[in-house]
Amino acid sequence: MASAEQSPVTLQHHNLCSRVILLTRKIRSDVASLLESYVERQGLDRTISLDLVDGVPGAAVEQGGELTVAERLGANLQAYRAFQALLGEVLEQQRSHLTPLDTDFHASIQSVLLQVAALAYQLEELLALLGHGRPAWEAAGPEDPGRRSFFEMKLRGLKVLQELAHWTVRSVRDLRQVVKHSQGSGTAHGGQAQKE
Amino acid sequence: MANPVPSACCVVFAAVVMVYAQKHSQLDTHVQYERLGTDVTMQCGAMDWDAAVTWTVNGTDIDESHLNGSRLVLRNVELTHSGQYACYEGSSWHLKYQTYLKVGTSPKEPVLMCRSNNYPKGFYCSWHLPSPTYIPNAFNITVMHGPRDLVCEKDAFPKNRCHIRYLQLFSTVKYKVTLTVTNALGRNATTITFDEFAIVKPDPPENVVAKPVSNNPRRLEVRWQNPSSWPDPESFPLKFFLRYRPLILDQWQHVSDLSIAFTEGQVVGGVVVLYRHKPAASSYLL
Repeated sequence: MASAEQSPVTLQHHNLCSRVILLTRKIRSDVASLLESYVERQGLDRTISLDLVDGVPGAAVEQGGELTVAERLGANLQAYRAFQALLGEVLEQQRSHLTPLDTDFHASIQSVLLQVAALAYQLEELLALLGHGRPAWEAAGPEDPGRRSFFEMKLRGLKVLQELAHWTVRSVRDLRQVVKHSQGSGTAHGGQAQKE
Repeated sequence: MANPVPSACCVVFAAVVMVYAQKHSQLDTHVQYERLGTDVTMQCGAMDWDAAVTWTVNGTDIDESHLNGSRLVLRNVELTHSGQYACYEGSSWHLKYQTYLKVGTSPKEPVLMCRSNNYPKGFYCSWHLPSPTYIPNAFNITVMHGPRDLVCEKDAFPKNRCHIRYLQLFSTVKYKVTLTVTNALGRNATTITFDEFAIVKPDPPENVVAKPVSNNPRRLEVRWQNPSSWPDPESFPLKFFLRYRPLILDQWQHVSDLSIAFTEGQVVGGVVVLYRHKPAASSYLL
Protein backbone atom coordinates (compact mmCIF):
# COMPACT_ATOMS: atom_id res chain seq x y z
CA MET A 1 0.00 0.00 0.00
CA ALA A 2 1.33 3.44 -0.88
CA SER A 3 2.10 5.65 2.08
CA ALA A 4 2.20 9.44 2.29
CA GLU A 5 6.01 9.32 2.52
CA GLN A 6 6.47 7.64 -0.85
CA SER A 7 7.96 9.68 -3.66
CA PRO A 8 6.04 10.31 -6.90
CA VAL A 9 8.42 7.94 -8.69
CA THR A 10 7.70 5.17 -6.18
CA LEU A 11 3.97 5.75 -6.51
CA GLN A 12 4.26 5.67 -10.28
CA HIS A 13 6.25 2.48 -9.98
CA HIS A 14 3.64 0.86 -7.74
CA ASN A 15 0.82 1.92 -10.03
CA LEU A 16 2.62 0.56 -13.04
CA CYS A 17 3.38 -2.71 -11.24
CA SER A 18 -0.30 -3.02 -10.31
CA ARG A 19 -1.34 -2.41 -13.91
CA VAL A 20 1.14 -5.01 -15.16
CA ILE A 21 -0.14 -7.55 -12.62
CA LEU A 22 -3.75 -6.91 -13.63
CA LEU A 23 -2.92 -7.29 -17.30
CA THR A 24 -0.94 -10.46 -16.62
CA ARG A 25 -3.88 -11.99 -14.75
CA LYS A 26 -6.21 -11.05 -17.58
CA ILE A 27 -3.87 -12.73 -20.08
CA ARG A 28 -3.70 -15.82 -17.87
CA SER A 29 -7.47 -16.06 -17.80
CA ASP A 30 -7.73 -15.58 -21.58
CA VAL A 31 -4.93 -18.06 -22.32
CA ALA A 32 -6.61 -20.68 -20.14
CA SER A 33 -9.79 -20.36 -22.24
CA LEU A 34 -7.78 -20.26 -25.45
CA LEU A 35 -5.96 -23.45 -24.48
CA GLU A 36 -9.28 -25.24 -24.04
CA SER A 37 -10.54 -24.22 -27.45
CA TYR A 38 -7.13 -24.84 -29.04
CA VAL A 39 -6.89 -28.51 -28.02
CA GLU A 40 -10.52 -29.02 -29.02
CA ARG A 41 -10.11 -27.48 -32.46
CA GLN A 42 -6.78 -29.17 -33.20
CA GLY A 43 -7.98 -32.54 -31.93
CA LEU A 44 -5.13 -32.76 -29.42
CA ASP A 45 -4.88 -34.28 -25.99
CA ARG A 46 -3.62 -31.96 -23.23
CA THR A 47 -1.43 -34.75 -21.89
CA ILE A 48 0.56 -35.13 -25.11
CA SER A 49 4.29 -34.78 -24.59
CA LEU A 50 5.73 -31.53 -25.89
CA ASP A 51 9.27 -32.09 -24.63
CA LEU A 52 10.70 -32.20 -28.14
CA VAL A 53 9.21 -28.86 -29.20
CA ASP A 54 11.94 -26.26 -28.87
CA GLY A 55 12.31 -22.56 -29.49
CA VAL A 56 9.64 -21.54 -26.97
CA PRO A 57 10.83 -19.62 -23.90
CA GLY A 58 10.39 -21.81 -20.84
CA ALA A 59 8.98 -20.27 -17.69
CA ALA A 60 10.72 -22.78 -15.42
CA VAL A 61 12.87 -21.27 -12.72
CA GLU A 62 14.93 -22.96 -10.01
CA GLN A 63 13.64 -22.57 -6.47
CA GLY A 64 16.12 -20.62 -4.37
CA GLY A 65 17.78 -18.99 -7.38
CA GLU A 66 18.70 -15.35 -6.95
CA LEU A 67 17.75 -12.73 -9.49
CA THR A 68 18.15 -8.96 -9.47
CA VAL A 69 15.15 -6.79 -10.26
CA ALA A 70 16.68 -6.00 -13.65
CA GLU A 71 17.28 -9.68 -14.42
CA ARG A 72 13.79 -10.62 -13.29
CA LEU A 73 12.04 -7.97 -15.35
CA GLY A 74 14.45 -8.44 -18.27
CA ALA A 75 13.68 -12.17 -18.44
CA ASN A 76 9.95 -11.39 -18.46
CA LEU A 77 10.33 -8.79 -21.16
CA GLN A 78 12.39 -11.07 -23.40
CA ALA A 79 9.85 -13.85 -22.95
CA TYR A 80 6.85 -11.71 -23.89
CA ARG A 81 8.69 -10.28 -26.87
CA ALA A 82 9.31 -13.85 -28.02
CA PHE A 83 5.64 -14.75 -27.40
CA GLN A 84 4.58 -11.80 -29.58
CA ALA A 85 6.48 -13.35 -32.48
CA LEU A 86 5.40 -16.90 -31.65
CA LEU A 87 1.71 -16.01 -31.32
CA GLY A 88 1.98 -14.19 -34.66
CA GLU A 89 3.29 -17.44 -36.18
CA VAL A 90 0.54 -19.49 -34.55
CA LEU A 91 -2.11 -17.09 -35.81
CA GLU A 92 -0.70 -17.14 -39.33
CA GLN A 93 -0.57 -20.96 -39.39
CA GLN A 94 -4.16 -21.17 -38.18
CA ARG A 95 -5.33 -18.68 -40.80
CA SER A 96 -3.38 -20.20 -43.68
CA HIS A 97 -3.41 -23.93 -42.96
CA LEU A 98 -5.10 -25.30 -39.90
CA THR A 99 -8.42 -23.47 -39.31
CA PRO A 100 -8.79 -21.04 -42.24
CA LEU A 101 -12.54 -20.46 -41.71
CA ASP A 102 -12.59 -20.14 -37.93
CA THR A 103 -12.43 -16.37 -37.61
CA ASP A 104 -13.69 -16.34 -33.99
CA PHE A 105 -10.77 -18.53 -33.02
CA HIS A 106 -8.36 -16.26 -34.88
CA ALA A 107 -9.82 -13.28 -33.05
CA SER A 108 -9.21 -14.88 -29.68
CA ILE A 109 -5.55 -15.56 -30.60
CA GLN A 110 -5.25 -12.01 -31.90
CA SER A 111 -6.68 -10.68 -28.64
CA VAL A 112 -4.07 -12.52 -26.57
CA LEU A 113 -1.36 -11.40 -28.98
CA LEU A 114 -2.33 -7.74 -28.53
CA GLN A 115 -2.39 -8.10 -24.76
CA VAL A 116 1.04 -9.73 -24.80
CA ALA A 117 2.35 -6.83 -26.89
CA ALA A 118 0.86 -4.38 -24.37
CA LEU A 119 2.44 -6.32 -21.51
CA ALA A 120 5.87 -6.21 -23.18
CA TYR A 121 5.46 -2.46 -23.60
CA GLN A 122 4.49 -2.00 -19.95
CA LEU A 123 7.48 -4.06 -18.83
CA GLU A 124 9.74 -1.83 -20.93
CA GLU A 125 8.18 1.19 -19.21
CA LEU A 126 8.74 -0.37 -15.81
CA LEU A 127 12.37 -1.13 -16.56
CA ALA A 128 12.91 2.43 -17.72
CA LEU A 129 11.18 3.81 -14.63
CA LEU A 130 13.45 1.75 -12.42
CA GLY A 131 16.48 3.08 -14.23
CA HIS A 132 17.41 -0.12 -16.02
CA GLY A 133 18.21 -0.36 -19.70
CA ARG A 134 15.89 -2.24 -22.03
CA PRO A 135 17.37 -5.53 -23.16
CA ALA A 136 18.00 -5.75 -26.88
CA TRP A 137 15.63 -7.78 -29.02
CA GLU A 138 17.02 -11.25 -29.40
CA ALA A 139 17.43 -12.61 -32.91
CA ALA A 140 14.79 -15.04 -34.10
CA GLY A 141 15.64 -18.75 -34.16
CA PRO A 142 17.16 -20.34 -37.27
CA GLU A 143 14.19 -22.65 -37.87
CA ASP A 144 12.11 -22.20 -40.97
CA PRO A 145 8.42 -22.48 -39.99
CA GLY A 146 7.50 -23.40 -43.57
CA ARG A 147 9.23 -26.76 -43.19
CA ARG A 148 7.00 -27.99 -40.37
CA SER A 149 4.24 -30.51 -40.91
CA PHE A 150 0.70 -29.56 -39.90
CA PHE A 151 0.97 -31.82 -36.86
CA GLU A 152 4.21 -30.14 -35.80
CA MET A 153 2.50 -26.76 -36.18
CA LYS A 154 -0.31 -27.91 -33.90
CA LEU A 155 2.10 -29.17 -31.26
CA ARG A 156 4.14 -26.01 -31.41
CA GLY A 157 1.04 -23.87 -30.98
CA LEU A 158 0.07 -25.89 -27.93
CA LYS A 159 3.54 -25.52 -26.46
CA VAL A 160 3.42 -21.75 -27.05
CA LEU A 161 0.10 -21.43 -25.22
CA GLN A 162 1.14 -23.74 -22.39
CA GLU A 163 4.39 -21.90 -21.74
CA LEU A 164 2.63 -18.55 -22.02
CA ALA A 165 0.12 -19.70 -19.39
CA HIS A 166 2.99 -20.66 -17.08
CA TRP A 167 4.80 -17.38 -17.74
CA THR A 168 1.78 -15.36 -16.69
CA VAL A 169 1.73 -17.12 -13.31
CA ARG A 170 5.46 -16.61 -12.93
CA SER A 171 5.18 -12.94 -13.90
CA VAL A 172 2.62 -12.16 -11.19
CA ARG A 173 5.00 -13.62 -8.64
CA ASP A 174 7.98 -11.79 -10.15
CA LEU A 175 6.11 -8.50 -10.08
CA ARG A 176 5.09 -9.09 -6.46
CA GLN A 177 8.75 -9.71 -5.64
CA VAL A 178 9.74 -6.47 -7.38
CA VAL A 179 7.10 -4.54 -5.42
CA LYS A 180 8.20 -6.15 -2.15
CA HIS A 181 11.83 -5.42 -2.90
CA SER A 182 11.19 -1.77 -3.62
CA GLN A 183 9.09 -1.47 -0.44
CA GLY A 184 11.89 -3.11 1.53
CA SER A 185 14.61 -0.91 0.09
CA GLY A 186 12.43 2.23 0.31
CA THR A 187 13.27 3.17 -3.24
CA ALA A 188 11.98 2.44 -6.68
CA HIS A 189 15.48 1.68 -7.92
CA GLY A 190 16.45 -1.88 -7.08
CA GLY A 191 19.54 -3.66 -8.27
CA GLN A 192 20.42 -6.11 -5.54
CA ALA A 193 19.78 -9.79 -5.75
CA GLN A 194 16.62 -11.09 -4.11
CA LYS A 195 16.02 -14.54 -2.81
CA GLU A 196 13.25 -16.52 -4.47
CA MET B 1 22.01 -77.16 57.03
CA ALA B 2 20.42 -76.78 53.71
CA ASN B 3 18.27 -79.56 52.27
CA PRO B 4 20.14 -81.06 49.21
CA VAL B 5 16.97 -82.44 47.54
CA PRO B 6 15.43 -79.19 46.42
CA SER B 7 18.82 -78.10 45.01
CA ALA B 8 19.10 -81.31 42.98
CA CYS B 9 15.56 -80.83 41.70
CA CYS B 10 16.45 -77.35 40.55
CA VAL B 11 19.48 -78.63 38.66
CA VAL B 12 17.41 -81.32 36.90
CA PHE B 13 14.66 -78.81 36.05
CA ALA B 14 17.21 -76.33 34.70
CA ALA B 15 18.79 -79.05 32.55
CA VAL B 16 15.38 -79.99 31.11
CA VAL B 17 14.66 -76.36 30.33
CA MET B 18 18.05 -75.99 28.61
CA VAL B 19 17.53 -79.13 26.49
CA TYR B 20 14.02 -77.95 25.60
CA ALA B 21 15.33 -74.51 24.68
CA GLN B 22 18.12 -76.04 22.58
CA LYS B 23 15.67 -78.25 20.69
CA HIS B 24 13.52 -75.22 19.93
CA SER B 25 16.40 -72.96 18.97
CA GLN B 26 17.65 -75.58 16.51
CA LEU B 27 14.42 -75.14 14.54
CA ASP B 28 13.93 -71.86 12.78
CA THR B 29 10.41 -70.62 13.12
CA HIS B 30 10.06 -69.20 9.66
CA VAL B 31 6.99 -67.52 8.29
CA GLN B 32 5.23 -69.24 5.42
CA TYR B 33 2.99 -67.03 3.30
CA GLU B 34 0.26 -68.69 1.29
CA ARG B 35 -2.35 -67.36 -1.06
CA LEU B 36 -5.98 -67.33 0.09
CA GLY B 37 -7.97 -70.20 -1.47
CA THR B 38 -5.03 -72.42 -2.32
CA ASP B 39 -4.11 -75.88 -0.97
CA VAL B 40 -1.16 -75.90 1.39
CA THR B 41 0.99 -78.96 2.14
CA MET B 42 3.50 -78.96 4.99
CA GLN B 43 6.19 -81.55 5.44
CA CYS B 44 7.28 -82.62 8.94
CA GLY B 45 10.94 -81.74 8.53
CA ALA B 46 12.96 -84.76 7.35
CA MET B 47 10.48 -87.31 8.68
CA ASP B 48 9.51 -90.19 6.41
CA TRP B 49 6.13 -90.12 4.72
CA ASP B 50 4.87 -93.04 6.82
CA ALA B 51 6.30 -91.85 10.14
CA ALA B 52 3.91 -91.33 13.04
CA VAL B 53 3.65 -87.62 13.78
CA THR B 54 1.35 -85.18 15.52
CA TRP B 55 0.58 -81.76 14.10
CA THR B 56 -0.59 -78.83 16.19
CA VAL B 57 -1.84 -75.38 15.38
CA ASN B 58 -1.41 -72.73 18.06
CA GLY B 59 -0.81 -75.60 20.55
CA THR B 60 -3.96 -77.59 19.68
CA ASP B 61 -3.75 -81.00 18.03
CA ILE B 62 -4.91 -81.21 14.44
CA ASP B 63 -7.30 -83.96 13.46
CA GLU B 64 -5.69 -86.85 11.53
CA SER B 65 -8.15 -86.37 8.67
CA HIS B 66 -5.93 -83.45 7.55
CA LEU B 67 -2.88 -85.70 7.25
CA ASN B 68 -1.48 -87.41 4.20
CA GLY B 69 1.03 -89.72 5.83
CA SER B 70 3.20 -87.44 7.93
CA ARG B 71 2.29 -84.42 5.80
CA LEU B 72 -0.32 -81.88 6.77
CA VAL B 73 -2.66 -80.86 3.98
CA LEU B 74 -4.84 -77.76 4.31
CA ARG B 75 -7.35 -77.39 1.51
CA ASN B 76 -8.68 -74.05 0.22
CA VAL B 77 -6.98 -72.05 3.00
CA GLU B 78 -8.83 -69.18 4.61
CA LEU B 79 -7.64 -66.35 6.82
CA THR B 80 -8.56 -68.41 9.88
CA HIS B 81 -5.91 -70.96 8.91
CA SER B 82 -3.19 -68.47 9.83
CA GLY B 83 -1.28 -69.53 12.93
CA GLN B 84 1.71 -71.37 14.35
CA TYR B 85 1.99 -74.92 13.09
CA ALA B 86 4.24 -77.52 14.72
CA CYS B 87 4.99 -81.16 14.00
CA TYR B 88 6.19 -83.64 16.68
CA GLU B 89 7.61 -87.13 16.33
CA GLY B 90 4.92 -89.58 17.44
CA SER B 91 6.71 -91.51 20.19
CA SER B 92 9.29 -89.06 21.52
CA TRP B 93 7.29 -85.82 21.09
CA HIS B 94 10.41 -84.20 19.72
CA LEU B 95 9.65 -81.09 17.80
CA LYS B 96 10.60 -81.78 14.20
CA TYR B 97 9.22 -78.81 12.35
CA GLN B 98 7.46 -75.53 13.01
CA THR B 99 6.27 -72.65 10.91
CA TYR B 100 4.08 -69.61 11.16
CA LEU B 101 1.50 -69.75 8.38
CA LYS B 102 0.11 -66.44 7.17
CA VAL B 103 -2.67 -66.54 4.64
CA GLY B 104 -3.13 -63.47 2.44
CA THR B 105 -3.27 -62.14 -1.07
CA SER B 106 -0.91 -60.42 -3.47
CA PRO B 107 -1.43 -56.64 -3.63
CA LYS B 108 -3.80 -55.11 -6.14
CA GLU B 109 -2.82 -51.94 -8.03
CA PRO B 110 -2.34 -49.26 -5.36
CA VAL B 111 -4.33 -46.03 -5.45
CA LEU B 112 -2.00 -43.04 -5.64
CA MET B 113 -2.75 -39.33 -5.57
CA CYS B 114 -0.59 -36.21 -5.36
CA ARG B 115 -1.66 -32.75 -4.29
CA SER B 116 -0.13 -29.37 -3.57
CA ASN B 117 -2.00 -27.48 -0.86
CA ASN B 118 0.94 -25.17 -0.17
CA TYR B 119 1.97 -24.14 -3.67
CA PRO B 120 4.70 -23.09 -4.52
CA LYS B 121 6.52 -24.86 -1.69
CA GLY B 122 5.89 -28.43 -2.74
CA PHE B 123 3.40 -31.25 -2.92
CA TYR B 124 2.63 -34.52 -1.23
CA CYS B 125 1.64 -37.95 -2.48
CA SER B 126 -0.46 -40.41 -0.53
CA TRP B 127 -1.53 -43.92 -1.31
CA HIS B 128 -3.58 -46.89 -0.19
CA LEU B 129 -4.47 -50.35 -1.37
CA PRO B 130 -7.96 -50.91 -2.75
CA SER B 131 -8.30 -54.09 -0.66
CA PRO B 132 -6.38 -55.59 2.27
CA THR B 133 -3.73 -58.26 1.69
CA TYR B 134 -3.69 -59.46 5.34
CA ILE B 135 0.11 -59.73 5.22
CA PRO B 136 2.83 -57.06 5.47
CA ASN B 137 3.36 -54.84 2.41
CA ALA B 138 6.33 -52.64 1.52
CA PHE B 139 5.83 -49.47 -0.52
CA ASN B 140 8.45 -47.78 -2.65
CA ILE B 141 7.83 -44.43 -4.30
CA THR B 142 9.89 -42.70 -6.97
CA VAL B 143 9.25 -39.15 -8.14
CA MET B 144 10.74 -37.92 -11.39
CA HIS B 145 10.64 -34.44 -12.89
CA GLY B 146 11.95 -34.91 -16.39
CA PRO B 147 15.31 -36.63 -15.85
CA ARG B 148 15.60 -35.51 -12.21
CA ASP B 149 14.95 -37.89 -9.37
CA LEU B 150 13.23 -36.01 -6.50
CA VAL B 151 13.33 -36.93 -2.85
CA CYS B 152 10.02 -37.86 -1.24
CA GLU B 153 10.29 -37.47 2.54
CA LYS B 154 8.02 -39.87 4.35
CA ASP B 155 5.87 -38.82 7.27
CA ALA B 156 6.15 -40.65 10.57
CA PHE B 157 2.36 -40.52 10.60
CA PRO B 158 0.43 -41.21 8.48
CA LYS B 159 2.82 -43.71 6.99
CA ASN B 160 1.21 -43.70 3.57
CA ARG B 161 2.27 -40.15 2.70
CA CYS B 162 5.45 -38.37 1.63
CA HIS B 163 6.39 -34.81 0.76
CA ILE B 164 8.29 -33.42 -2.23
CA ARG B 165 9.76 -29.95 -2.47
CA TYR B 166 9.47 -28.20 -5.83
CA LEU B 167 12.98 -27.72 -7.17
CA GLN B 168 11.65 -25.86 -10.20
CA LEU B 169 8.62 -23.66 -10.55
CA PHE B 170 6.44 -22.81 -13.55
CA SER B 171 7.79 -25.78 -15.44
CA THR B 172 5.79 -27.46 -18.18
CA VAL B 173 7.84 -30.64 -17.79
CA LYS B 174 5.61 -33.32 -16.35
CA TYR B 175 6.07 -35.06 -13.02
CA LYS B 176 6.00 -38.85 -13.00
CA VAL B 177 5.33 -40.70 -9.76
CA THR B 178 5.59 -44.47 -9.50
CA LEU B 179 4.48 -46.39 -6.45
CA THR B 180 5.43 -50.05 -6.15
CA VAL B 181 3.92 -52.29 -3.52
CA THR B 182 5.51 -55.62 -2.72
CA ASN B 183 4.62 -58.43 -0.37
CA ALA B 184 5.59 -62.09 -0.04
CA LEU B 185 2.89 -63.11 -2.51
CA GLY B 186 3.50 -60.61 -5.30
CA ARG B 187 3.92 -57.02 -6.38
CA ASN B 188 2.01 -54.33 -8.20
CA ALA B 189 2.62 -50.73 -9.25
CA THR B 190 0.86 -47.53 -10.23
CA THR B 191 2.31 -44.65 -12.22
CA ILE B 192 0.76 -41.21 -12.60
CA THR B 193 2.00 -38.23 -14.58
CA PHE B 194 0.84 -34.69 -14.10
CA ASP B 195 1.62 -31.02 -14.65
CA GLU B 196 2.80 -28.78 -11.85
CA PHE B 197 -0.43 -26.74 -11.83
CA ALA B 198 -2.77 -29.71 -12.24
CA ILE B 199 -2.33 -30.92 -8.65
CA VAL B 200 -2.73 -27.53 -6.97
CA LYS B 201 -5.70 -27.85 -4.63
CA PRO B 202 -5.80 -25.43 -1.73
CA ASP B 203 -7.29 -26.29 1.63
CA PRO B 204 -10.74 -24.90 2.47
CA PRO B 205 -11.17 -21.30 3.63
CA GLU B 206 -10.77 -20.77 7.34
CA ASN B 207 -12.68 -18.95 10.05
CA VAL B 208 -15.87 -18.85 8.02
CA VAL B 209 -18.40 -16.79 9.92
CA ALA B 210 -21.94 -15.83 8.92
CA LYS B 211 -23.72 -13.30 11.10
CA PRO B 212 -26.87 -11.19 10.80
CA VAL B 213 -26.59 -7.65 9.48
CA SER B 214 -27.91 -5.16 12.03
CA ASN B 215 -31.10 -3.38 10.97
CA ASN B 216 -31.51 -5.84 8.16
CA PRO B 217 -32.75 -9.18 9.48
CA ARG B 218 -33.03 -10.67 5.99
CA ARG B 219 -29.31 -10.38 5.32
CA LEU B 220 -26.23 -12.20 6.50
CA GLU B 221 -22.64 -11.07 6.39
CA VAL B 222 -20.14 -13.76 5.52
CA ARG B 223 -16.46 -13.49 6.36
CA TRP B 224 -13.63 -15.89 5.75
CA GLN B 225 -9.86 -16.11 5.53
CA ASN B 226 -7.37 -17.77 3.24
CA PRO B 227 -6.32 -21.24 4.38
CA SER B 228 -3.27 -20.81 6.61
CA SER B 229 -1.48 -23.52 4.60
CA TRP B 230 -1.46 -21.24 1.54
CA PRO B 231 1.93 -19.50 1.81
CA ASP B 232 1.83 -16.68 -0.74
CA PRO B 233 -1.74 -15.49 -1.33
CA GLU B 234 -0.53 -12.23 -2.84
CA SER B 235 1.29 -13.91 -5.71
CA PHE B 236 -1.18 -16.77 -5.97
CA PRO B 237 -4.56 -15.36 -4.96
CA LEU B 238 -7.39 -17.80 -4.40
CA LYS B 239 -10.88 -17.58 -5.77
CA PHE B 240 -13.80 -18.55 -3.60
CA PHE B 241 -17.22 -19.88 -4.35
CA LEU B 242 -20.11 -19.35 -2.00
CA ARG B 243 -23.47 -21.03 -1.99
CA TYR B 244 -26.46 -20.41 0.20
CA ARG B 245 -30.15 -21.14 0.45
CA PRO B 246 -33.00 -19.97 2.60
CA LEU B 247 -34.22 -22.81 4.84
CA ILE B 248 -37.59 -22.87 3.09
CA LEU B 249 -36.07 -23.49 -0.34
CA ASP B 250 -34.30 -26.54 -1.68
CA GLN B 251 -32.27 -24.84 -4.36
CA TRP B 252 -28.84 -23.43 -3.68
CA GLN B 253 -27.78 -20.02 -4.93
CA HIS B 254 -24.21 -19.58 -6.05
CA VAL B 255 -21.82 -16.64 -5.89
CA SER B 256 -18.65 -17.29 -7.82
CA ASP B 257 -15.30 -15.64 -8.45
CA LEU B 258 -15.03 -14.06 -5.03
CA SER B 259 -11.54 -13.00 -4.13
CA ILE B 260 -10.19 -12.34 -0.68
CA ALA B 261 -10.40 -8.60 -1.39
CA PHE B 262 -14.17 -8.96 -1.09
CA THR B 263 -14.33 -10.55 2.30
CA GLU B 264 -17.69 -9.05 3.09
CA GLY B 265 -20.21 -10.64 0.81
CA GLN B 266 -23.80 -10.01 1.75
CA VAL B 267 -26.31 -12.71 1.04
CA VAL B 268 -29.98 -13.25 1.69
CA GLY B 269 -30.64 -14.93 5.04
CA GLY B 270 -30.88 -18.69 5.34
CA VAL B 271 -28.26 -21.39 5.56
CA VAL B 272 -24.89 -20.14 4.39
CA VAL B 273 -22.28 -22.59 3.27
CA LEU B 274 -18.84 -21.84 1.89
CA TYR B 275 -17.33 -24.68 0.03
CA ARG B 276 -14.34 -25.53 -2.06
CA HIS B 277 -15.20 -25.73 -5.70
CA LYS B 278 -13.72 -28.61 -7.65
CA PRO B 279 -13.05 -27.48 -11.19
CA ALA B 280 -9.70 -27.99 -12.93
CA ALA B 281 -7.17 -27.27 -10.24
CA SER B 282 -5.42 -24.56 -12.21
CA SER B 283 -8.42 -22.30 -11.86
CA TYR B 284 -7.34 -21.65 -8.31
CA LEU B 285 -4.59 -19.57 -9.75
CA LEU B 286 -5.26 -16.25 -11.37
